[in-house]
Amino acid sequence: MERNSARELTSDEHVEIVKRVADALSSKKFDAVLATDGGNVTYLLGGRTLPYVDQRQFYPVAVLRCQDSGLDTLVCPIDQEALARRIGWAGRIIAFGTSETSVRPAFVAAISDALQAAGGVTRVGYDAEAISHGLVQDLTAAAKGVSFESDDGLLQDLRAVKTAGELRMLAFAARLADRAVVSAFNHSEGSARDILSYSLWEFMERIRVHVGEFGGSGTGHVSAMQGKRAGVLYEQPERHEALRPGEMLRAEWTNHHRGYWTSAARTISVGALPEALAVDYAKNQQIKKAVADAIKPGVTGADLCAVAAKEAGRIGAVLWTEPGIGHGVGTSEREAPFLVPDSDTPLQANMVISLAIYTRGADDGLIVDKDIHRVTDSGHERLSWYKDYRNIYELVGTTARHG
Amino acid sequence: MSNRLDPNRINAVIKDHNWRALVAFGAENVQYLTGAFLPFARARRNQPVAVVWPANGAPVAFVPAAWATSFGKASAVSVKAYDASGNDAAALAAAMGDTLKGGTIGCDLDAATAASIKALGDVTLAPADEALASLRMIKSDAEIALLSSAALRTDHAINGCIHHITVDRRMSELTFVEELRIHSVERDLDLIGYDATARIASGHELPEYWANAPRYGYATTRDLQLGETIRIDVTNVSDGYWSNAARMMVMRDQLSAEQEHDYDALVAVRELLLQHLKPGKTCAEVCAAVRKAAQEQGVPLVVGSDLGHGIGVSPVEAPFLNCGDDTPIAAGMVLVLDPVIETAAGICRSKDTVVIDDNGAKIVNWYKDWREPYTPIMSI
Repeated sequence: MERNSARELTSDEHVEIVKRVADALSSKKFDAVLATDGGNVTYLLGGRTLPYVDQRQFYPVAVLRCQDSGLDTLVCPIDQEALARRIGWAGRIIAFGTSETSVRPAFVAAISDALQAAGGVTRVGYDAEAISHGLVQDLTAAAKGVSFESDDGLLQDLRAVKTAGELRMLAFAARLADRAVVSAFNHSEGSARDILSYSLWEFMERIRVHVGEFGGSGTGHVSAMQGKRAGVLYEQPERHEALRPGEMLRAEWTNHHRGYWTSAARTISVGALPEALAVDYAKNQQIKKAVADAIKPGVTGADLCAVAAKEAGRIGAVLWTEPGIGHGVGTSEREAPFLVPDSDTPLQANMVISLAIYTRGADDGLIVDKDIHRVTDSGHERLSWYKDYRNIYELVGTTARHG
Repeated sequence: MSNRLDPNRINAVIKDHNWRALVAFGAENVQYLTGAFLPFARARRNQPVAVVWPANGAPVAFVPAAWATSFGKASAVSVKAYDASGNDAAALAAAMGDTLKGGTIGCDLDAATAASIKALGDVTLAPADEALASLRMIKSDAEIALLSSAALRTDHAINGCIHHITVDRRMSELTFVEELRIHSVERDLDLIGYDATARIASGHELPEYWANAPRYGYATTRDLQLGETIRIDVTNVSDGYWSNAARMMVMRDQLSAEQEHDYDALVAVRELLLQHLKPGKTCAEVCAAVRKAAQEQGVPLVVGSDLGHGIGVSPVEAPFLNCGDDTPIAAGMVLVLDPVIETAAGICRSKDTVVIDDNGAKIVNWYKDWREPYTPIMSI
C-alpha cells in the first residue's frame, strides 16, 4: 500500500517510460514519433509536464522522440526553454520566438529543423486523434523527404498500460481527489443548513485549492450540480447559488499530480438523507460493485457494459448509458481503454480506469460515484481508497457560534 | 441566436468564399459559433465536437450524446448527438451524414484533428482558420461589454486581494494566490476551465516565466519577503469569455531605486503601445515601431516575445502583436497588451486590456491607476 510517499518519478522511472517508446518505435519501424497534445507530450517527455499544453494552442509545443534517444527534441516557445530544463528534460531544445514572425511558421520551421538535425528520420508517427490536421499538412510540405503517418494506436497502446512509477503517480492523484472533496465537505457542512448556507462556487473552489494544498499540481474541470441541474452532465451553477438542504449534490472534477490525471465524482446528500435518494444511491453502488468485481485481464469494455446493464435490469435501476461506464486515465484525464458497448479491446494488467457508472434517481438526477481501479493480474485494485463511499455522504452540521 | 454573435457576418464569410458550408471542429470555434461553453471540451479531443453552418439553412452542432443536454441548454444552435464509441471521430462523421457532401466546405483544418478529417472521407475542404480568426477578432458590442467587464472585475479582484496584505504580517505565496482566486469568485468571475489560474512569482522564482514548476496551478509555501518584487498573474473566465491579467507589486510601502527604474520601463512601453495602436496600422507595424522606440529608450524588452494578443473565447487568440502578423488593427478589437521586460529582479509584466475604437486604444481594466505598482502598508 502506497502511503503518499515518493511523490516524484525517479530518474530511472522517467527512463523506463522513454525506453518503452523507443522499443515500440523500432517494432513498428517508425524512426520517430511526434506529439503536440498535453497527454502525449507529458508521456514523451518521460512523465514530465509542461503548462496547459492543450489550452495554449497559440503557443504550441512539440516533442519528437526518436529511436536514437540522443536525437530527442522538444520544440517550444522561448518562455518554456528554461522551464524544460527545470523539469528535468535532458534532450535537445529548439525554442522559437514570436516577436519577428507569427507563431505557426516559427513552430513548423522549428520542427522541420529538429527533423533535419536528427538526420535519417524519414518516417514519423503521430496520434491522429490528438494532432492538428493542418499541422500535419504544413509539416509534410516543409520537411522534405519525411513521411508523417498515423501511428495506428502506438502511443495510445503504450500509455494504456502503466509502469510502476506511473501507477504511483495515479494513485496519489486519485487519493488527492478525495482529500480535496473531503476538505470541501468539511469547510461547507458547518454552514450548509444555516440560513446563509455555503455558496456552490466556494464549494468548488475548496476542491480546487485543496488539491494544491495537499501537494497536487492542478485541476482541470471542476463542477458541482444540485437539484434540477444534477439531471445533466454539466451545467454552471446560478451566479449566487448556495447549497440547498434536502437536495442531492453531484461534484465532478479532474485533477493531476505531476501530469498524471484522475477523473473524480461524488454524489452526496445536502442535509439529512431523503429515503428515495438512499435507495437510488444504493442501487448505483450495487451496479458499481458488480462491474468492479468483473474487472480482470481479458474482459472488454463491452463485457463490462453488459454486466452493468444486466445488474441494472435485475435491480430496477435506470442506467444513463450515453457516456459509457468509464475510461482510462493517465497523462490525460480521459484516454484508452474506453468502457463503451462497442469496445472489444481486452483489459490488461496495469491499465488504470475511472469507473463512472451513472444512474438516474427518482427525481431524474444523475448519480455517480467514480473510483479509480488498477487492473491486476487476476482482478482489480481500487486506488482511490482514501474514503469509503458505499454509504452516501450526508452533509450535515451547523456552525458553533462559540458564544 | 445568441446576442453576442451576428449570424450575418458568418453567412457573409461563407458566401464570399463560395463555400457550401462552414464546419468547425475547434472547441473555441464551436463555442464562438454556438455560444455553448463546456470547459472540458478543450481537454478531451478524443470526444470531438463540430458545428456545420450551411450557406443555406440552420447551423447544427454535433456533440457526444453525454454532452447533448448540457450543450443544448447553452447553445444558440440546434444540437445532434452521436453515441460514445471506441472511435468517436467515425461516430461524429457518421452523425454529420450528408451535411458536408457536395461543393467546397470551409473547415478549421488547424483546429481539427487528423482523425476527424480522415473520418469525413471524400469531402472537399478548404482552410477556414483565418476566416474564423478574422471573425473572432472583431467583437460585437455584447462581447466587448463582457470582455471589458471581466477584465475590470479581474483587476478589482487583484486589488481586493492585495489590499489585505500588511508587510509585517506573514503571508505565504500559496495563501496569496488563494486570496486572488477568492476575490475573483467574489466578483462573479467563473474561474472554471483548465487554464483559469491565479499565480504569483516572487524572490528566486521571479526570473521564471513559469514559477513553481510543475505545480503550475498553485504556488509555493514560501513566505513573502520584505522588499521583494512580486509578479501577479490571473486568468479568469466569465460566461465563456476570458480575462488575462498580470500586475506588479513590491513588498514594502515604497520602491527601491531599482524597482522605480524597472517599473518606469513597463510604463514607458505601455505608453508606446497606446501611442502606436491606431486603426489601419498592422500589428507588425505597431510591433516594429514600439520595439524600435523601446530600444532607443533603453527598455529591456524580452527578445522573442509578443507585445500582446487578442482575447475572447480563449485567453490568447489572434491578432498577435508581433512583427510577423500583418493583421490591421481595427475598431472592435479587444487586445491584451503584454510587453515583457527582463530586469535584474526577473520577469516583469503588467497586462492591460484595451478596446480599439476609431481613435485608438482605450484601457478598460484599471481598477486603480497602474502607473505605479501596488505598495502595501507596513503595519497596522
